[in-house]
Amino acid sequence: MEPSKWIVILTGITLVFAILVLLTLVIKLQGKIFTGIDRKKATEAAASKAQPASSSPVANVAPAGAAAAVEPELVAAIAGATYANASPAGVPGEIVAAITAAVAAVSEGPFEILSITKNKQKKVAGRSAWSRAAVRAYTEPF
Amino acid sequence: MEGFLGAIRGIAQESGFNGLFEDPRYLIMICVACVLLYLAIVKQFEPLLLLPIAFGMLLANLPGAGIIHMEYFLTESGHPDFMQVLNNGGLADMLYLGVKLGIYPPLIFLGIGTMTDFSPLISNPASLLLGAAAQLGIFFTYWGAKMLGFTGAEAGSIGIIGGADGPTAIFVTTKLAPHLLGAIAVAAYSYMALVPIIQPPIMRALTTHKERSIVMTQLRPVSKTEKVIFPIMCTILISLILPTAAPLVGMLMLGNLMKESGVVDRICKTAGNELMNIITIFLGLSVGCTTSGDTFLTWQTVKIIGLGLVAFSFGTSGGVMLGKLMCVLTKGKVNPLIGAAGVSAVPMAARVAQKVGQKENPQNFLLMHAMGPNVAGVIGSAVAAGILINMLG
Repeated sequence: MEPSKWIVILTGITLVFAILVLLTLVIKLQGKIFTGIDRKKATEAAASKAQPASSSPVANVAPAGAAAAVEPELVAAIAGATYANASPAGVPGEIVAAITAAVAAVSEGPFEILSITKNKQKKVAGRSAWSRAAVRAYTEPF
Repeated sequence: MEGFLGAIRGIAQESGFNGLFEDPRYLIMICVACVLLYLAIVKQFEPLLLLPIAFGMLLANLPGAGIIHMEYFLTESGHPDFMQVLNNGGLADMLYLGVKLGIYPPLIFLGIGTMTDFSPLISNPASLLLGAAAQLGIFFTYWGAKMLGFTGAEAGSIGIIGGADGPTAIFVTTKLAPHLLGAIAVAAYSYMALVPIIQPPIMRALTTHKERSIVMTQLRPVSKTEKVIFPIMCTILISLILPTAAPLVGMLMLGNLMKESGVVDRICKTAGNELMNIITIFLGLSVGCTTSGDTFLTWQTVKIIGLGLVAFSFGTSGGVMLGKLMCVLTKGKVNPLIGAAGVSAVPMAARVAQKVGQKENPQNFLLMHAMGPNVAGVIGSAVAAGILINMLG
C-alpha cells in the first residue's frame, strides 16, 4: 500500500539530512585524525631539519614544536619574498610570485628566496632550457 | 503495368507518409524532436545527452520504422517480456534493456566519479548539509505532483528532477514510472542546461549584497590518504543504511577511488572517456526512443515540465536558505551563494555561484567553495533516489 505523501516527505527529508549529517561527522573526524598526523609529521621533519641547518646562512627555520605555525610562516615568507624582490633584474612581480609559490609547494620546510634572475643562456643544441629539462626528465630512467 | 502500379501503391500505403496522415501526432513529435535538436546543437543545451535523446525521439516517431516496441516493456505484470524482446526486438529494444535493467545510470556515475574531485567537500564537510538542503526541491515537487493527481510512484519520479541529476532521474523513473521516462528525461536535461538562467534571480532575491560579497577563507589541503578513504567509507556507510542507493553511490565512489588511488590509470581513463561516451549514446538514444506521441503529447507532460521548473527553483532556494542560516551561525564566514550549488548539476551550479559572487565582489573566488556543495548534491540526490525507490517502489 502506498504510504501517505506526508510520511514520504517527512521520512525522505529526515533520512537525507540524517545520512548526510552522519557523513559530515565521519569526514570531520577523519579530517581531524589526518590533520593531527600531518602536523606531527611536519613537526618531526622540522625538528630533524633544525639540527643540521642551524649554521646555514638561510636561517629562517621554524623552531621544533611550532609545526602549527609552519604554514603561516610559509605564507609570510612568500609575501615577504614577493615584496622584497619586486622586479629584480627586470623580472615582473607576478613572475617572482609564481616562482616563489612553486618553490613553496615543493619545499618541505621554511625557505628563503635569495635571488631570481632571468636566464639569458642561449639555446644549446637547438633546445631552450625548458626543453632540455623536459628531455632530462623523460630520459632519466634510461 | 498493373503489377508495377500495384507494387508502387503497396509501397505508398506502407510508407511513413501514410502514417503521418493517419496520426498527426507523429508530425508534432517530429517537430518537437527538431526543436530539441536545435537546442542541443545551436544553443548547446546539454548536447551530449539532449542530441541522442532528440534523435531517438525523431526515429521513434517515424511511422512504420518500428525502432522500438514499448509494449514489450510496459506489460501488465510490470516486467519486460524478454522473450518478445529477444525474438522480435530491434536495435532500440536491445539498447533500452540497459535502461530498464538499471545498468546505464550507474555506469554513467562510474564515469562521473572518475571526473569528480571531492577535496572541497572533504576539507569543508559542512557542504554536505548544503547538498542535503538542495534536495528539498525533490520532496516539495513530490508534494506538488501528488496535488496535481499523479500517483506516488509518478510523483517520486517527477520530484527527482529536482536533484538536477540526469542519470539519477532516469534510474528512479525506470523503476517507479517507466511510462514517464521520456518526458522526465527531456525535462531534467533541459532544466539542467537552464541552471545559469534559473538560479541567479533566485540567488539574488534570497540574499543581500553584503551576504553575496562574503569572502570565504581558503580550504585546508587534503591528503591523498583522505581522498582514498573517502569513497570507501561513503560506500560502506550509505549502502548499509540505504541499500537501494548502493548502485548509484557505489559506482560513483568506485570511479572516484579509481581516480584517487592513482594505480589504475588505464581503466580510470576508460571509465571516464570511452565507456562513458558509449553509455551516453546508448542511454540517450534509447530514452529518446520511448517518447512516442501518445505518451509525450499529453497534459501530463506539460505538468511534468512545469513541476520540473518548481523542482529546480525550490532546490536552489533550499540550498541558499540553509546557506544563510550557516552564515548567521558562523558569524559571516559562509557565503550563502554556495548553497545554490547544492543541486547536483556539476560543475555548472558551482560556476553560477562563482559568477554571481564575482559580480558583487570581483576579488571573490567562490568556485572551489561551491564545488563542495555541488559534489555533495550528487551524493544527496543519490540518497534521495534510494529513499524514493525504497518507499514508493
